[in-house]
Amino acid sequence: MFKKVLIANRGEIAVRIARTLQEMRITAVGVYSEADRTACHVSACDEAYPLSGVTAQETYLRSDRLIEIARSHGVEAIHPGYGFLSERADFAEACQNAGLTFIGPSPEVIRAMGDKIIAKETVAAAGVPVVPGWSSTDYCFSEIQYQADKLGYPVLIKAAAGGGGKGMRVVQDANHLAEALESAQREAGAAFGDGRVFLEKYLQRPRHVEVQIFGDHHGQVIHLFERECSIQRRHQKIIEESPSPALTPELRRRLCAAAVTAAQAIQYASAGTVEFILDEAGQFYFLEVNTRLQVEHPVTEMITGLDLVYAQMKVAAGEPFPLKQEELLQRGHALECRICSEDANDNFRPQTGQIEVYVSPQGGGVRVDSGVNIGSEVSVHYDPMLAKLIVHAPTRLAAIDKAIQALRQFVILGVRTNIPFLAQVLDHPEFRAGQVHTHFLQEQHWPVDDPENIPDAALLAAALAVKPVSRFSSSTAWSEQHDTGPWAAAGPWRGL
Amino acid sequence: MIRVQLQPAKTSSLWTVALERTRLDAADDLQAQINQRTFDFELLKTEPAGGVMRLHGQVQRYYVWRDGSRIQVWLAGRIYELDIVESRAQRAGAAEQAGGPRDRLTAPMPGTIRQIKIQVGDSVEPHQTLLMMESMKMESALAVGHAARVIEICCQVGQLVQMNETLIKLEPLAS
Repeated sequence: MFKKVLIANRGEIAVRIARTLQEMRITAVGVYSEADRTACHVSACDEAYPLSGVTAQETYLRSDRLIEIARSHGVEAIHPGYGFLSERADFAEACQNAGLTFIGPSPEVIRAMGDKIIAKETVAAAGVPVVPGWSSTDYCFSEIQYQADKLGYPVLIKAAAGGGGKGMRVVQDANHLAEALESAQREAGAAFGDGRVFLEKYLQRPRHVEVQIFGDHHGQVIHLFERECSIQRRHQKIIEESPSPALTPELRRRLCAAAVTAAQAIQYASAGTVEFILDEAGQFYFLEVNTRLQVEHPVTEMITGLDLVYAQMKVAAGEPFPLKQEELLQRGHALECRICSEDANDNFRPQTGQIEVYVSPQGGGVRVDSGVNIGSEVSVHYDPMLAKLIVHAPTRLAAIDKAIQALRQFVILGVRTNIPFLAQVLDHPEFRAGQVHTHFLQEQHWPVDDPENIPDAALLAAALAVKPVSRFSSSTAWSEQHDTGPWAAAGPWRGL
Repeated sequence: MIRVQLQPAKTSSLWTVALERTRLDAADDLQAQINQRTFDFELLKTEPAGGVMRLHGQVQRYYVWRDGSRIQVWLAGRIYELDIVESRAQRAGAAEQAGGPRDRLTAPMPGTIRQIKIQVGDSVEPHQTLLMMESMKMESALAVGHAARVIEICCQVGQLVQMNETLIKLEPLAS
């Protein structure tokens, strides 16, 4: 096993990886930008080294600096976490060339799966159903127009190098095709340096269901069941759960088998996720493979009882995956909520500032993976996700109630967060009934709290924040009260 | 003893909250008046960023964060944002206390004198209430931030005064 591993990331995922490394008696090496000097992930690591600069571009994306730090401090492997360099084939390759183990699949697999057109062709060839669509290297407009007509509107334009919804356009009818195509190509070109796009049939109310897969270097590929991630805003997942309420045992078996087939087709060796969309008729289609540890991986950890980072380390060190497929069980129900610094009452505008009060929930079956604490600075430079709340309970409804209760105990003041909004979504009758799809959040009306409905205790708490009771003028209060009634002697307003 | 006007963020409604100790020997027994309702509550614990109170038979934990005039309150899983409303008059008064003339008390706002609590010749402590004034239905206690002797009272109960009008002439004392 490795003795020393560098975590090329920040925030909650860096803290979470460091925790497992330390359990394994592996020295965790952190890196940090100037803005993150006092961040949680820095003190969570055994050693930490600065990356000069502030922006992601200057710091966590500097593969040359990361490799240099790793080499000069005796590091043997690099865990990229998610985001940043986690799906950069050139970084995985650079690690290899520097004699470092990249904790993830091979550069070839990352590269192939990073190209959505190649990924789709590869898994389709292995017999996995893919979303009906069309791609070509030839961008003759009349051909694209013909193919779009054949698929039937609405159609979806997606970027070959895509991700995060960039270069993606829904086209409702033929009149808008040319315009959408042009802007998608332009956006993809700017975001990825690759303007290639392809067409897909647009599914009206699909669910997003993905399968956690794991491959090792001994030819074993297993799945760790599904996660449903249909609760999304602008293509960003915010609530994930397992099991999916949409799957029958039979459908689950077929879906997980398809994911394993896809993983075997690319000789996958590490943790990965095969994403599918599921239509209202129960038909599933391959979407893409994520060649990294996902944000929502704790959902799988809760229902299987496994530590995926532990398994990643074992597999990267050449050991077999610790369990056989038949030893894996999906126990109970797990649910994750992403806590983000954004104002749900103001169109989810990201909030920056300092976290002044931070109290995380407690209790059986409650897990918080957090990258922040009291005093943490939430800056404009990085992701607004602060923490993840993950709960585990025997049934789906019990998990929902546990999550709502935990959200009600979660205190973050100083920056606004989506905590109240998450509780509102979980308590929605259709969510409780499991009737969700990827457009659920945008289709539903989410009432804003009535700002005038304020309990007495909140008003008293606010008044006490203006002036603490210990500083009330006291000695004169008693006699004045009798002279003139209780409110006559309001103290000097200077303290207001 | 405090009186605060609070305005929920993004609204025009106003809450007047006044708090007072009801017993001299118990710091945690308080009386509150919110708009026109009066009730008792107990402050069981206070911390830099919150506390525990017993109110209407319920023990409740709260957290607060104040940033200038904006207050965030966490209570039972919800967050309330309130602004401290300082009237123009109050701001003027505060400015005066910060560096205003020390030889007189002036009206921080236009309003009516409700009560005069001192007499000529009295020595007053810093922040001791000198008179009560009502403005826009809100009563304020006026004081100065330093010790002084009262030289002359230039107003009467019931009198309408203008902003910055001299109400009491003082001789500052070293405290």
